[in-house]
Amino acid sequence: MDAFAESILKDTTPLASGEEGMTDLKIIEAIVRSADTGNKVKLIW
Amino acid sequence: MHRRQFLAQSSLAAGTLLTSDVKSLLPQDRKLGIALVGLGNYATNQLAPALQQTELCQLTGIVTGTPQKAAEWSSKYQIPHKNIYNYETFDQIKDNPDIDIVYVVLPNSMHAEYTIRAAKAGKHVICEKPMGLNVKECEQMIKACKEAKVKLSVGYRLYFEPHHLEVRRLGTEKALGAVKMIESSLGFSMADPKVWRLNKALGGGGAIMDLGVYCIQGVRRTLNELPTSVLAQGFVTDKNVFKGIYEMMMFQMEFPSGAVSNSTTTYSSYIDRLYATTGYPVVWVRAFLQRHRCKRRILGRKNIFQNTCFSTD
Repeated sequence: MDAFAESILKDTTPLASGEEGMTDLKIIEAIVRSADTGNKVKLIW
Repeated sequence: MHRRQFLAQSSLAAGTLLTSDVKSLLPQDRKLGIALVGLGNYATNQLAPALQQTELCQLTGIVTGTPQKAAEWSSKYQIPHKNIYNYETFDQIKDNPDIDIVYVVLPNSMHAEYTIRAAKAGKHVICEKPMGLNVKECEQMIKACKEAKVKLSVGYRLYFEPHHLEVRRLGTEKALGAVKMIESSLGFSMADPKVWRLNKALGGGGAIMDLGVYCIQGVRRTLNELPTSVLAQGFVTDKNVFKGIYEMMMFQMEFPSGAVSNSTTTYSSYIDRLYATTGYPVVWVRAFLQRHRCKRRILGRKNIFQNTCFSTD
């Protein structure tokens, strides 16, 4: 939490950014789709 | 306090080593104020104690729908009445200068709504993982924070825990050669249909949402790469408990470097490990919830599989 406070004080992007969180959700969506269909799912970034 | 507990709270509290020049950036020597939204187990037993160790921020507010919790927290942490909100009064937080950061610790289905409302109130946001139920929600959350010019972070721990930082260093610096295979798994038993994490509407999909993010983060952080494909298998054994969600998922990810990962995430049995191998030397750490120190093992070629896959250390 101090790291986040530091990113606020220094006006830098937090390490664990929203974009990082969204990346993991994109992977999770692909995982669920793969499990539902039985097919390998390609990811394009 | 047990050592493990201390380490856990320290990594939640800290980040990088603080220098005096960072502290000098604090407004009038005042720590930044954090309001916790949702006072469940994690907020109570992990975050609030960790906020007693932080140097740049402190607990100044709470948001809860339970008056009894409000009273308990108010007296335990000296939180003034004016800094206590419920879910109806939450948006008034915008007028409170004691609160700079809102930490959303609610069930997964409420992350997007409260992150966006906090951003609109002009507060920086830490949102517990998983960030939202899907990519669309994440996009809306990022957009809201950008428009409000506030910062957004996800409550990931792997960025700050010493043993994970060491595995990342070994992996990304190829200290023991390029990582070829990663085993990254997390699971425990939570076969209780009453908990929100097993409710599809509230949790969003069971273990893969809650614990899968650790597995994915563990691999991504060790390789510093994004997967090019995934292949997954879902299992439900107890249909009375796991309704509309997978009880257990196994998945494999392929990466541009040629590295492959294998993961299991489950709510019905125990597994906890992050394990990366470079073919000859072996790096592994036992992993996400158990915070053992990073262990590095150099093993003879013949013994690699025997000594790593089945180690119970």
